[in-house]
Amino acid sequence: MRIMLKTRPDVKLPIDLSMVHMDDIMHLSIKEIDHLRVMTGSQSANLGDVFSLTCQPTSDDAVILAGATGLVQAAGQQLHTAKLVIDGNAGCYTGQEMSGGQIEILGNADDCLGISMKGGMISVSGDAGDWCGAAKAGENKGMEGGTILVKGNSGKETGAAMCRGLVVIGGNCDPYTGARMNAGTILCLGYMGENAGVGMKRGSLVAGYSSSLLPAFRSAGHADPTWLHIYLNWLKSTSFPVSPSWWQNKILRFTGDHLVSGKGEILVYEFNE
Amino acid sequence: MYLNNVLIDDTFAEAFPMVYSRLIITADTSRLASLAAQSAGGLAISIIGCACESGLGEMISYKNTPDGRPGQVLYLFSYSAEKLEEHLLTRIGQAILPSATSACFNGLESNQMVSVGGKLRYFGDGYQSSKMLGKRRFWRIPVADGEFVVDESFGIGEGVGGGNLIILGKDRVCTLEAAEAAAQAVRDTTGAIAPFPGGVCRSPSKPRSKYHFLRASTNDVFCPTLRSRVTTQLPVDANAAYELVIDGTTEASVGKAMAAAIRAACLPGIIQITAGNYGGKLGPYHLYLHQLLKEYLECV
Repeated sequence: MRIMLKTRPDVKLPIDLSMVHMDDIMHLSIKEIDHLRVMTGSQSANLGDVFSLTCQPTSDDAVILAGATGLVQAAGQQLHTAKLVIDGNAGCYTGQEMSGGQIEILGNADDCLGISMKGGMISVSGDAGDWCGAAKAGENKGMEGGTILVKGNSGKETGAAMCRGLVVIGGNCDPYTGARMNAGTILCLGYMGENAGVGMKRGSLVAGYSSSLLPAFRSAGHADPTWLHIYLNWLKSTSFPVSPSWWQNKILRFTGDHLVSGKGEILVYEFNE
Repeated sequence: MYLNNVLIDDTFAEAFPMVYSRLIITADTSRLASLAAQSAGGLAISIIGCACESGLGEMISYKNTPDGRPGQVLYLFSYSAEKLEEHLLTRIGQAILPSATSACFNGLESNQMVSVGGKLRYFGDGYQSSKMLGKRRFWRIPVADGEFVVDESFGIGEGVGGGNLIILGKDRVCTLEAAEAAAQAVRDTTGAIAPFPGGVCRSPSKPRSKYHFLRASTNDVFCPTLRSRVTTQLPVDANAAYELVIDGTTEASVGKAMAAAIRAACLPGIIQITAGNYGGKLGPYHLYLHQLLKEYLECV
């Protein structure tokens, strides 16, 4: 069954969906969904006041958000099994603390995408904002599992304090990618900004190209790309665009952050100082 | 029943449940992948003395392996999951890990998984690291030519072992030629292996001995030099016999391999093809030769 939630034309304020669990919606009647509570601005309201609802009997279950989706915040929070499709841009905190299921964003994603997520898959056709796959403000542990695929660019502190999981950025990453990273893997197929990996304990950052690394990262020769090719082959199987040159060229490897533990690594395909 | 003038005995092969694992071994070239697999297969001929039986499966194109390099499938069979786990650890650790440029992946999704890479990782002496893709964990163990990548867990499946054929011919040369052709037919069957050297066994055994310290001994009824001393099962004109033991991932794959092997072995000089069994009292799988031919080769 497909449930479509389309924002009403008069909605101008942000809508906070943090109290709405997409997994539960699939088992509710239209009337019950209508009466779920959401925050719009500083006011509490019924979901039916800000969204128009339609149901379509289909073989696959999904919830579809349409309309002014950029105003919708915290969609898919704590998602566990359901599939959520956002037909447009996604507001901030989309996929926060999700532990399974799937979120598909057909536009851009605002800040804090997939923050503190534990599982599941988020795919973004456009760009992602700051703190994609990162930790909540003030916390030391961020993303603990799951996969985020962003076909465009991402903002700063992508994957900050990440503990596990995979973040793939098809374009460029702003500075501080993988800051305070505990473990996990971030693939940036384009340009990785400055100060990548600052304070990282373990984990892997892979950059298509970079122009500078912090002095606490040491050159470690060339990387053995076997493990990386496993990821790249999997990415290719999901139809994520990956240039063939990723399988052909040698990769430079740097270990760090040696001010912390030195067990992390940054792999760079093209390094131009 | 005759096939190409060869008498196909109206009998059955008695086969047994076994457990198996399917490894995908990759390397920079298919030659290196094959070498690593052959080394890991090693002394894994018969469950009687080796506790493990192995055979090479198909080569896998670089397009279909996890790391995009040429791959070789290796099957390992044993009588229990515990014993198989031991062999996985030993063979991957001692033969595949040291093989130049190799990596080793699980090729069998199963409800029963055993930790292999999760134990081999300690060879990294603290410098190992792991990567997760979905629910699958790989270990990266630093070695002198880069890293050895291995799946953390390997699947164990329920297979069938002990399918067999005994080929009786006029002399050693033509009987061996037929046996080798049969062995190739087994190798060409997906999910089936013939674990003896080249797939052919020149010493079929019986499960008893006059010596108390032996579990098995030469199958005297097929030994041409003993025909005057025992109740031989060799036809008058037969002077050599070779056995194929066939294990498979399912009863059907064993049956299909046996049927293909029978057809391949029906060459000039071959007099009879039969099979070994224990009266049907030990193994739950009874593979009747005539039925297999009807089912898989559309023979009448």
